[in-house]
Amino acid sequence: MVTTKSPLHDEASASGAKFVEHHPWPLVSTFGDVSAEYEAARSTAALYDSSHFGRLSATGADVLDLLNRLSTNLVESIDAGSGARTVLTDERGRILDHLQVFNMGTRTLLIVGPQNRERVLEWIDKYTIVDDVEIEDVTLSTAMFTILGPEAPDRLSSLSGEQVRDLGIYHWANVSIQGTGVQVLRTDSAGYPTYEVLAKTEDALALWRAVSDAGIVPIGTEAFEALRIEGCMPGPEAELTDAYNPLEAGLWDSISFNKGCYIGQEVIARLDTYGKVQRHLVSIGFPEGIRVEIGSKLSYEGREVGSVTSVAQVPGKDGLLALGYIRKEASTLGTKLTLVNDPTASAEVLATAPGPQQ
Amino acid sequence: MTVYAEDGTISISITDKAKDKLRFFAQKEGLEDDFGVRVGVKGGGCSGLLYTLSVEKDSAPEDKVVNDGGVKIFIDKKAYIYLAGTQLDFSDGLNGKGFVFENPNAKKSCGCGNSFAV
Repeated sequence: MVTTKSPLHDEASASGAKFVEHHPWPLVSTFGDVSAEYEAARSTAALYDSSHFGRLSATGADVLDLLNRLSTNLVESIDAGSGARTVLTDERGRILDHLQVFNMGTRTLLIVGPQNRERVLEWIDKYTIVDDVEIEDVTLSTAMFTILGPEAPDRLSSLSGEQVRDLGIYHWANVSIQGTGVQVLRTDSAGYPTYEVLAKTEDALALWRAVSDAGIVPIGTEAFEALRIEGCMPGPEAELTDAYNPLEAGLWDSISFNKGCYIGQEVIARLDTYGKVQRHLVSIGFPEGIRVEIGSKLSYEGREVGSVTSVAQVPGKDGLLALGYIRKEASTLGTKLTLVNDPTASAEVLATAPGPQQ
Repeated sequence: MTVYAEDGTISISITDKAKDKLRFFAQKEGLEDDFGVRVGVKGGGCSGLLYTLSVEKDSAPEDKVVNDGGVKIFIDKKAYIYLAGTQLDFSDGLNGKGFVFENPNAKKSCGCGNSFAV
């Protein structure tokens, strides 16, 4: 069966949600009130449909060993019940995908960027020569919801049991939400307690209703993007592409520098050892009335130093907030930048992606 | 010297120095003179593909088996396309690299020589 929409599409559409085009299917941009959605995530708990992210199920004796040889983090020793973030890099050390890997006992779950399913499958297949590894794309037969916010642990544990409250980051558990069996994965992001809830597609709608009826507020991509950009988190298709390397993106906690070789390791080790990272991911604030879009070029002291990769209107704030990769000499907090095509437009570096010391 | 498998295809050769070292390691593993050298390839390493090397008593059913001057070489058929024509040497000395693969299929190799790309 070819699915071209989220399992929640019709329900969201009937409730008046607005949609934005995206691959592999349209995403809800807002359920009606972006500010309320954004505030829910900041002050209580929010529910976001992440089903468009890819989910690959890998089986075989060599899965973790192979992933350890192909990606940046130490994943060969992940126990059943836990997981890690790791970066699939090419020979040049560039980002193919920033994936989450969870050892589910009988299988390994890979959560990959929405438009990277085929690419990751092909990449792993290319390097599976004698290894015992089978990978199935389970994106369409499963649904995934993100629950985030300061009250997410309380709200979710009251729905699914105390086991969830005790989950450490990158740990997961099988639980039941109103009779529906799900896997809950703790993945904290953008500075908030965060969980991914995995369910079968046929259970998605009832599950969504149960969670939202419990007061966890559904949010769309506008609010989610505002939270992500505010948190200076690189996102798929925008910052997590092969135009950049993981050190530029601040993905230090997804890299092991002493685990040994993986594809791209020589390049990444050299960038780190000799301090050769040339640009950094930062968030940039613009004053009200300044028009900024993806690709807008930025300058510092008359020289072009980077461009905008994501942009959002953060509710309650004047002006736009953007992410961009900026040359290192202009990437420190408080640096004043301007737009290349509008030198009168002042902008400021407001946050930086994590560095090696953080 | 190019070594050919029984089916006439180009195979893998081992230098005399590498054979001596392989015999040494085989004896350490209790295999005496009855052993084969398994050479293979798996994904990973800085450049994408990694060499694997071990001494084993028996070949596997799917192996291509070659005899190079009395030393048996076991090659997994899936790895063969990456290795045809390779010579296995041994680099000794204080700064030696140990076993070294001279692989005509490798377009690029990483600094340590254990990983390559085709």
